[in-house]
Amino acid sequence: MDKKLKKAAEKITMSDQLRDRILDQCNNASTKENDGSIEISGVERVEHKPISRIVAAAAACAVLAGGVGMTAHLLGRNGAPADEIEESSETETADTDSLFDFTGKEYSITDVEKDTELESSDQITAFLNCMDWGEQKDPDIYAGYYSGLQQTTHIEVRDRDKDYFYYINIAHTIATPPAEGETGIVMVTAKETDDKDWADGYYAIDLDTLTVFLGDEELRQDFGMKNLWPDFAGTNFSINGWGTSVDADKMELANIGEAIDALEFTPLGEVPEEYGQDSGEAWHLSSDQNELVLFPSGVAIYHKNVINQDSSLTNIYNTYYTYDYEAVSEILAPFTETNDQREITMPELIGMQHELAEDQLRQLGVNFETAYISTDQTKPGYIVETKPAPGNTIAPGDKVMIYISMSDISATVENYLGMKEEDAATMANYSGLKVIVEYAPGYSPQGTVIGQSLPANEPVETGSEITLTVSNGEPSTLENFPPFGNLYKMGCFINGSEFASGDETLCLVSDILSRYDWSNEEADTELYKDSEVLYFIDTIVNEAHRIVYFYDDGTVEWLETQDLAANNIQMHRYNDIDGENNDLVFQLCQVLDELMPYNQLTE
Amino acid sequence: MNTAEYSGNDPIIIQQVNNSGVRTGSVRDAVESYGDTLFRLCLIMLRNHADAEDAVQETFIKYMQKAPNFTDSEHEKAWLLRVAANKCRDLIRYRSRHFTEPEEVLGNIPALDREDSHILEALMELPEKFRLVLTLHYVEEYKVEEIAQLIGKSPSAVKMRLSKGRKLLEEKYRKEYL
Repeated sequence: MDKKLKKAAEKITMSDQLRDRILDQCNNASTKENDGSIEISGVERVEHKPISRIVAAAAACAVLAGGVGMTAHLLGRNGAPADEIEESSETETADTDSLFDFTGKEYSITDVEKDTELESSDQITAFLNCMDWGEQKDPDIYAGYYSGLQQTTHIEVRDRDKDYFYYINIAHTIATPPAEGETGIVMVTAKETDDKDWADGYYAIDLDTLTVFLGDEELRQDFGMKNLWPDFAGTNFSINGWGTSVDADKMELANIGEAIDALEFTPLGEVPEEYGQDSGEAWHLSSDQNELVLFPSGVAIYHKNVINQDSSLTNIYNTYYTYDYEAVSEILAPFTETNDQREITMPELIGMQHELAEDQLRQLGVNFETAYISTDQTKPGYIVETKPAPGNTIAPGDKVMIYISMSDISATVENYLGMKEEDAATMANYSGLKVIVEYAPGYSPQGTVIGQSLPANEPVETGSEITLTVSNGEPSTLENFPPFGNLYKMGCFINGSEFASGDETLCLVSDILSRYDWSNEEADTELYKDSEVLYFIDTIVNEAHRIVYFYDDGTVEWLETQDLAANNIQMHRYNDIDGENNDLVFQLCQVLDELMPYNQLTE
Repeated sequence: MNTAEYSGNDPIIIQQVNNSGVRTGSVRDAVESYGDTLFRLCLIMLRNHADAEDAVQETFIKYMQKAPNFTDSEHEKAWLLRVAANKCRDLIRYRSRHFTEPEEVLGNIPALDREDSHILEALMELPEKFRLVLTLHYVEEYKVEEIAQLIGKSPSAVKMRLSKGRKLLEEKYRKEYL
């Protein structure tokens, strides 16, 4: 069935006309993009001078943070005709007027909560320049958000040449929970020095990163945020690594510099623990007093140094990145061939357990890729083949591949809950699983499967172990009851269908529920509305309704009330943090899906 | 047009000073590599050729304009799929308010035989949320966790949709085409 679907779907392909049309469209867009500069001829700009400048600055900033495209949006929204706007992907020019380019500006940072002031420094400038300010937010919404918030940080930036200054006010967001990376709200207010005009812009930022960075002097020395380093193209720098220097003339160096500048460096939020183990094989690019070290592990460090009076170096800060080591090796390989090389020979790995083999390669400092292939010649998880073959030399930049055997046949786990022990064990065995049976107290009749360790409907490797928990028919402890009670005794309505007390379905439902840890409870007064209710169970205890909701994201909540319409009903909620209750809802729903073929709620 | 008031009266120059490097590939490469995948998804989601073509086109234009720097081709593909899936959802929403002619979608694809058409028709008759996860899982072979990340749902929600969707698909296929 699945294969049939894949086979059929893969016959759907896009027509050549569509392909050409898309490429045409994109080409049109990109020729505009490479033009070099943007000229905006908007009458509005003239009439609202300060605003247009801020918009331009904000737009430039959006390009910095958000890439091409947003600029056109920002400018388009403020009156400039969108089709006259073009963006450049060329390198920086002096005319770039970015709101968030702090280089060369006078600014001060005030921690409003602590009432302390921070002077500007090169490093903070770099940090602020590179911070992800995100895209500009809809002012209609954010102005409402922002008003009345307690500020945490206030930055005041002055640009003497340009006759205006701006405030950057930062506060905690009021969104609960905040979106990822948007824990803070930024309001940027730009202003002419003569108090004439104001323009506001709103952004959402990761407030923690900012406050931690600004608040902790020590951390600032060693924080792994992105930093701008000068482009290598056009500067004097030297390269060495692998115990050798790269022998390149000026022309070639310029090319190398350009190629390195074009590489993608992704800033790391944390310093990886083992980045420098393979330092012997690292490339060092030294420019003036600063140095970029490119480790084979794919981590790069930029050391920002200053030269002291006694011509020694002091490290100001380091920034960490991930990057493509192979790409660097490729760039540098042509210049290193003639040099003395540390040669690495491909070890004999075939027939070795793959983790051991990978360890061995890592110890040699070899970058490699793994691929799985189906074969019955080698046990699953063992190395079948390597490229290059054992005994051959690996040059830096060579792509090393190891091929790992995997078993071709996969077994399918089914839903065994509610089945008799023998039937379930036979079925699981037949599907190629290794069955382990354990007995536990349960409300279900003796011999009923009430738990399974592998989720149903997922392929696993043949021979995988599955533990089936089987009821011994003796409900023993009461402490494992879910806090909303014992359904088995009470009887209930599940999605409106009635189940009498002692019903076998209820026994099974109770057994599944009682096998989970119900200790992480949260009290809440609001009904959870983010997800879809899959099942709800309604019982009546002491004339009050006790209703349990099971949501499709694994959240479970319950309430007890005599009057559902009453306000301020307290909900008890279990957000699944560790994913265990995810499985619970999943298992429960599978059982109920089978028992209640017509589910009025979800169909 | 009066530009005299504008200080310096030089054009505002805006540059992409994206220091972290260049995009991994050109649009042409992306269209070549992922065009079919995206078109397939959009057609299954939208059940209409013209809409699917629009969705794919808009996805690539967005790629041109706003694509982030990708860590690898998988990242790139996932980004494109997510954008395309969102585009489809927007279009479906739009369509629910505006009437569109129903279309014999699969009749236009000569490569499909009867059996292929039947199973795809069965798939296209499922509710939208099942179509998406089933296509990503069984056609594009994404794992549950990856789909969860891609569509912004929890893994268990994806698991549930997969399991239910599969059941519904089988029922439909058996009942109507066998």
